[in-house]
Amino acid sequence: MTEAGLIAALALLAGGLALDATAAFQLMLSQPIVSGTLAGLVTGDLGTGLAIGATLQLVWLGVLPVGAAPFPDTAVATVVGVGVARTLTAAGSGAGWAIGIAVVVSLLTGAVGQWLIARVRRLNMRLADMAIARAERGDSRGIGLAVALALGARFAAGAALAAVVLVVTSVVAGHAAPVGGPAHYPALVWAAPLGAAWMAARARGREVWAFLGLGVAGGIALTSL
Amino acid sequence: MDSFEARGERRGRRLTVAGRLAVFARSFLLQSVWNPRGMQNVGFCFAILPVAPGADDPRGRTAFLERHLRFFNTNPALASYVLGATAAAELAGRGATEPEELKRALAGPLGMAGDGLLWGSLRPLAALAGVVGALAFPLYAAAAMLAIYNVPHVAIRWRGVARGADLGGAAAREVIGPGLRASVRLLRGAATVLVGLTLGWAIAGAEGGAGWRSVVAGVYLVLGLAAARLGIPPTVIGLAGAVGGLVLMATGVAGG
Repeated sequence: MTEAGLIAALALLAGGLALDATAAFQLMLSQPIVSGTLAGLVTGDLGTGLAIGATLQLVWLGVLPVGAAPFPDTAVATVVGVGVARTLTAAGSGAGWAIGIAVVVSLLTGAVGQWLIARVRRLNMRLADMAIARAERGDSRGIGLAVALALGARFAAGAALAAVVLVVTSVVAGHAAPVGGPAHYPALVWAAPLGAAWMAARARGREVWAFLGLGVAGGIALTSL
Repeated sequence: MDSFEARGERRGRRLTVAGRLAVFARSFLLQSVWNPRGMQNVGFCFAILPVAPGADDPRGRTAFLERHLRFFNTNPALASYVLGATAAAELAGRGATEPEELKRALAGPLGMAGDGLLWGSLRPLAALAGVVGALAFPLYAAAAMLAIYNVPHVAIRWRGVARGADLGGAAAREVIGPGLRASVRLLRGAATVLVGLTLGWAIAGAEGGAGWRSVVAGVYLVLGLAAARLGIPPTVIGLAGAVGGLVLMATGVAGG
C-alpha cells in the first residue's frame, strides 16, 4: 500500500471507530486496546498496535464518556499513534523512539479530539432544533436526517483529525525522525501505575490495596516463569 | 419504515417481537445526536419511532414526536428499560402520561446504575483483561475484551427492551436494586487484581532491572493518586508519563 493509501485507510478506520465512543453502538471498539489492534492489522504490525493500545488503555482507564463530561477521542488518538509509529519506523527510527514519540502524539491528538467532539455536539444542537421544528409540523423525517448528519459529522471530524496529524507527521518525519536508538520504550512502567492509581482512587474500601497487592505478586510471579 | 401502525399495528396492541427488535436495534443510536440542551432527546425519539401513530392520525403523530423530543439523558445501555416500557405504553394507548413519568422516575437511577456497573466496573475489567491478554496472548486480546464487555452489554440492552415492554417501569428494579452493589464490588475487585498483575509485570520486567522500575512505578502511582484527587485529567498526567518514559530511554536508564 502507498503512503497516501495507508494514511487514507487509517483515517477512515479512525472515523469509523470514533463513532463507537458515544454516537453509535458503544461496543468498546473505540477503546485503545481494540483500536490499536485494528490499526496494527492495517499497518501490518500487530505488536506495535498492541503496545500503543495497551499503554493508552491504562492511561485512559478512567475516561468515562458520560453526560456532558468532556472526554478525549481515544479511538482517533490510538489509530494515529499506530500510524505515527509506522511512519517513524519507516524513516529509520528504532522501536523505542517510534513508540515513545507515537504515544506522546496520541495523547495530544486525544486532547484535540476532545475539543472537536465538543464542537460536533454544538452542531448536534442545531440538528436537534431542525428535527424539533419539522416535528412540530408533523414531519418525522427530520429525526432520521438529524441522526444521519450527526453520525456523518462525527465520522468526518475523526477521520479529518487523523488524516491531518498523519500527513503532518509524515512530512516532519522525513526531515527530523531520530535514526536508530533503543529497541524498547518503557511504557508499562509508568502507564500501569497510572491505571492502578485510578482503580485505587475510585474504590471505597481498603480492600482495594489487598486486591492490588495480590495482582502485583501474581504479575511478578508470571515474569519469573 | 417509521410506523408499525401504518403496517397494520393498532393502538391497544402489545409490542411484537419485530417491534422489540426494531427498538433494540435503534437503541444503539440513542446518543447519535447527543447535544448539550436536549442530550439524548433526538436519539430517544428515533429509537421508538417504529411505534409512532401513522399518517392516518396526524395529530397523534405530532403529539408523539413532541413528547419524545423533550430532554432525556441516562445510561445508554440501561435506557433500553425506558425504551421498552415507553414503546409498550404508547402502543397500549397510555402514551400521553405514562412515558413522561417513566422518564422522570428512571433516568437518574438508571444513569447512576449503568455508569457504575457498565462504565465504571465492567468496562475497566474488560479493558484490563485486554491489556493482560496483550502481554500473554496478543492475537486474542481485543477479542477477549470485546467478548467480556459485549456479551452482558448486548444481553442487558435486549432484556431491557423485552422486560420493559412486558412489565413497564417496574422491570428496571432488577438493575437498580441492592444486587447491583455486590456486582459492582465483584467486578471492580477483579479489575483491580488485573491492573495489579500488569503493575507487577511492569515492575519485575522481563528484561530485569526491577530496582529502577520499582522506584519509577512508585513515583507514578503517587502522581496518579494525586492527579485523581486533584481532578487533573488523565491525558495531562499521561503526557507526564509518556515524556518521562522518553527521558528514561534517552538517558539510558531504560531501553536497550
